[in-house]
Amino acid sequence: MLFKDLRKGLSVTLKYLFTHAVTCQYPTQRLNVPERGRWLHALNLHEESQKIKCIDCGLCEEVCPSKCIEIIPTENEDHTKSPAIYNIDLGRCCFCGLCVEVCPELAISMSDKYELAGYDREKFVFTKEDLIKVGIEYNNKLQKKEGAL
Amino acid sequence: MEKKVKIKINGKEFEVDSEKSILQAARENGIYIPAICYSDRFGAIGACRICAVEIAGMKKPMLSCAAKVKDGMEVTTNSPALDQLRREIIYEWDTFHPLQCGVCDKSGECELQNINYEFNITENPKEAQTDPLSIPQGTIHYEWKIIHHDANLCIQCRRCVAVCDKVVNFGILALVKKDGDRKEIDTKDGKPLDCEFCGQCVSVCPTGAMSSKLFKYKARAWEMEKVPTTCGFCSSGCQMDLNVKNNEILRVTSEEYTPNMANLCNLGRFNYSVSKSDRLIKDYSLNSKTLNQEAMLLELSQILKNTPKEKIFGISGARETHEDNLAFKMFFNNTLSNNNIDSLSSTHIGKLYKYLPQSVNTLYDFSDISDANLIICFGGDIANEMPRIDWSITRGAKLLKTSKVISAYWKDTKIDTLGSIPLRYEPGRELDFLTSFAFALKSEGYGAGLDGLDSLTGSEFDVSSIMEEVKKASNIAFIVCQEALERSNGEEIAKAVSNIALLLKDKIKVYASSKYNNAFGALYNNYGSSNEFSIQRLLEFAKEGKIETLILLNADLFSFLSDNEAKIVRDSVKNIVLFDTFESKTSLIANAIVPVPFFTSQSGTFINAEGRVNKINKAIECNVPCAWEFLFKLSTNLGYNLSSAKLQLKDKKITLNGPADKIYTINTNSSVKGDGEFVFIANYSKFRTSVYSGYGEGAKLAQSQSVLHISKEDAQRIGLNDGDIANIEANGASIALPVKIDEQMPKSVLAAQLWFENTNPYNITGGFNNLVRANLTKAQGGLK
Ligand code: SF4
Ligand code: SF4
Ligand code: SF4
Ligand code: SF4
Ligand code: SF4
Ligand code: FES
Repeated sequence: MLFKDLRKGLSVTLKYLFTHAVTCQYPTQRLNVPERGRWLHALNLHEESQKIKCIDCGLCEEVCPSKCIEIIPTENEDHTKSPAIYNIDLGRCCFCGLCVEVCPELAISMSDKYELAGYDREKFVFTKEDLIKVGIEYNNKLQKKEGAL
Repeated sequence: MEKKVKIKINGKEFEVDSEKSILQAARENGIYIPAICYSDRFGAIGACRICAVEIAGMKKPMLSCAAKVKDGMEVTTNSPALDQLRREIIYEWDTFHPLQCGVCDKSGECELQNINYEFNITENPKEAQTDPLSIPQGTIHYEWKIIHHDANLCIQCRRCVAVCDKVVNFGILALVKKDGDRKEIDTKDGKPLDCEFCGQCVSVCPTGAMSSKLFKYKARAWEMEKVPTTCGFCSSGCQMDLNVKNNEILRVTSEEYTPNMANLCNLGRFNYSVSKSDRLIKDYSLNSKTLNQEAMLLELSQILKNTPKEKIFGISGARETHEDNLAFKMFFNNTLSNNNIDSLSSTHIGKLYKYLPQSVNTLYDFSDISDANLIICFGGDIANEMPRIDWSITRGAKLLKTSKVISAYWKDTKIDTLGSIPLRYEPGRELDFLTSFAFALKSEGYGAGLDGLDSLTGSEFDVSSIMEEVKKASNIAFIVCQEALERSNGEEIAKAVSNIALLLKDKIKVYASSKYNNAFGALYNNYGSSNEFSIQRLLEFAKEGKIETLILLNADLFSFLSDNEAKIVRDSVKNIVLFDTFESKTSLIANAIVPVPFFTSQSGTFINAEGRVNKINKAIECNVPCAWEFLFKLSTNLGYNLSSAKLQLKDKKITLNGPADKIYTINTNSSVKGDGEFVFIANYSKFRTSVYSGYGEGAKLAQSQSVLHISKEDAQRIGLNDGDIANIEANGASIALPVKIDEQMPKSVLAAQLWFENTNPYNITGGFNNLVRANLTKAQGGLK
């Protein structure tokens, strides 16, 4: 009685042991996430001038339900405004994407980077520089993809 | 008496005051009419036209802000035709209005945004018809100080023009012609803005066209918390809101419903950065050693225990809160059981309220000034001393046109542009005017039956030009300026003012000006009541060795004494204990320093010149306890428990005690110190109320240093041009100041402003005096 059940169970296990895997073999293999997925934020630059697009209108800061965006503005020499500091605390972010939706300048978007675990709370605070880097990498990737098409 | 009329608005009947405009009547009854250019602060302008309403029987819509109500009037505030009319106006404003709400500091509180939203404007047929290339580039005035003007954002409502003219009475702004038939707001003479830098224009601008450079890009309107408080720079007691983000004040605003009607001067509106000055005192220190609070309490207790009680003296700067001021008084009266204490109120208003009889010493609201038939402003340039009184005078004379103005002073000032009757005496001859006036009043039969009338004698000074107005007036506001009371014969001046007040008893309201924000609070707490000690005797007491320990509460010795006198005090007193917020020349020489919070970092009350008990609220954290808390602890250490003392005032308004009705005999033989060719006067700038008020950006940018005002004639004779350095010498001392030629200065008179760091005018006048005869020379070799 007992052995019959065991044998049946083991046969299933053994069958799958020798058939090929159906799950993604993370971390050796990574899935392509959908383009409209909501992952790590990116701050974008103007293509020509390479200046940050964000003008600190403050809308993302205001709309963010978890209040995890902090911007400190500065006046540039040409009297335009841009963020001196732009922090997102991903430890609080709920990835709702409202900041992206509200941005009038298309200055903030979301990349395909979803590996955001860490050992340290402080590391969850992504600075302007971090987010610009994400933007550059992601936009290059998108461009490559477009070129490939 | 106000007449009432009946009008119908949107079919509903209302009874309203016949003097009101349709807009006011509608607002009072909760009916909304859009209005952009109107404000109660300056009345109707008639520029925006959006407030138009239909009136039965009239073909065209009428401007509701300008049209008065009439009996039987039927008003419609909304109709398809009106809606279309208003839309057309908005389209016009919107046409190529730069789409920069994202960075515009006005965004979130912009009336142009609001009205577009209200009318749900999503497209603009006008813009579609206009050639974008035909839109001219408006000027952006980056070069102005403190105020930023971007003509591209301007909708030409002319509110800024109206407020500068009708409230501030400065009138520097105008809608001026630029190339073509285009118009822009600019200064009348086209030069960079040089004005009172009060920012009233910023406060009324419906758009981001007039804005504050100090606030530019600092924060979005919705990100700041507004903490209501009372301005701590002068005794006007303006109500304002500190706009705070991240424990920092980013701007100051005020609302139209406040008694000051949202008006603030340069210091109130733009000088908030004093609160984060790098010269804030942060640590307790004893002989330059930093201590913690407990150690300081022990050390101070020891010092005070070792000093015989009768050798401990105290001076209050009359700038701290009422609570601190009262605790300090109690500390002396109860803990130390002496009354060796006085305040800086005693240098001016203290003199007046010592003599002003109880029957005429009531403190009145400033709004009564605007309602008076006659305003007599005596003894100073009120616009420099207390801007809020200046606005009240302007409101009465220029806007409501209820008041006539008499200005009795040695110089033409701004209020003389209000069509005043000028009475010009020589500086130092204040008593001539006062005694002549009193004598003339007596001769007209005023004060009949009062004892001592016979002692009133006149002088050569002719007051006949004003007597007609005085007789006609039923309601006179008499304003006594600080400058007059700070003269060395200020007590006699106070007595002479008291006589006039008593003679005009039933129809006069006396106001006194003070640059010290809680000066009236110090009077209320009975400072200056000691028969032996007064602040005027500080030097004498110090020299005689009567003072062993001197405790100063927000009182900077160098702000009311000459450097030399302050040094004498320093050298004759063993311990100087300073409670203060900011570093000063006194903090450099004090033995013990106890930090106290700035008014933006504590809660409490100030009492203003109206006698109102105004609240202040803590807006930013600074981790320094209030002076009263420290004094209570100190008192406990000395064996007296003050903690049951009630510091908070329940009343909203205070009254002062005064003597019984009495006509004073005036001693007119005052002698002026010095023997130079010029009369030199130390008076005030509207950009300072203390030395530390210059630690803020707004005041510093508006005026960075004390300058010597001199008539053109004198300047030419001595060979001085604007900006040259002049030496003024009197009493064996001299000061050097940059020259400013001032067309309004009379011949042979010089004036410089107190409380700037470049010089201390008391060095030549001596403390408790502000007028001296002096000699003037051009400094050799330019800047010293
Ligand atoms: S909404 Fe866009 S432009 Fe505005 S502050 Fe955020 S990122 Fe910057
Ligand atoms: S003035 Fe008003 S409408 Fe114009 S950019 Fe500024 S916030 Fe926007
Ligand atoms: S700051 Fe004051 S004085 Fe200067 S233009 Fe504006 S309203 Fe006039
Ligand atoms: S600057 Fe402002 S207040 Fe002045 S006219 Fe233009 S919109 Fe009106
Ligand atoms: S300094 Fe005086 S007049 Fe100016 S805002 Fe402050 S209280 Fe008002
Ligand atoms: S509010 Fe009446 S015209 Fe502007």
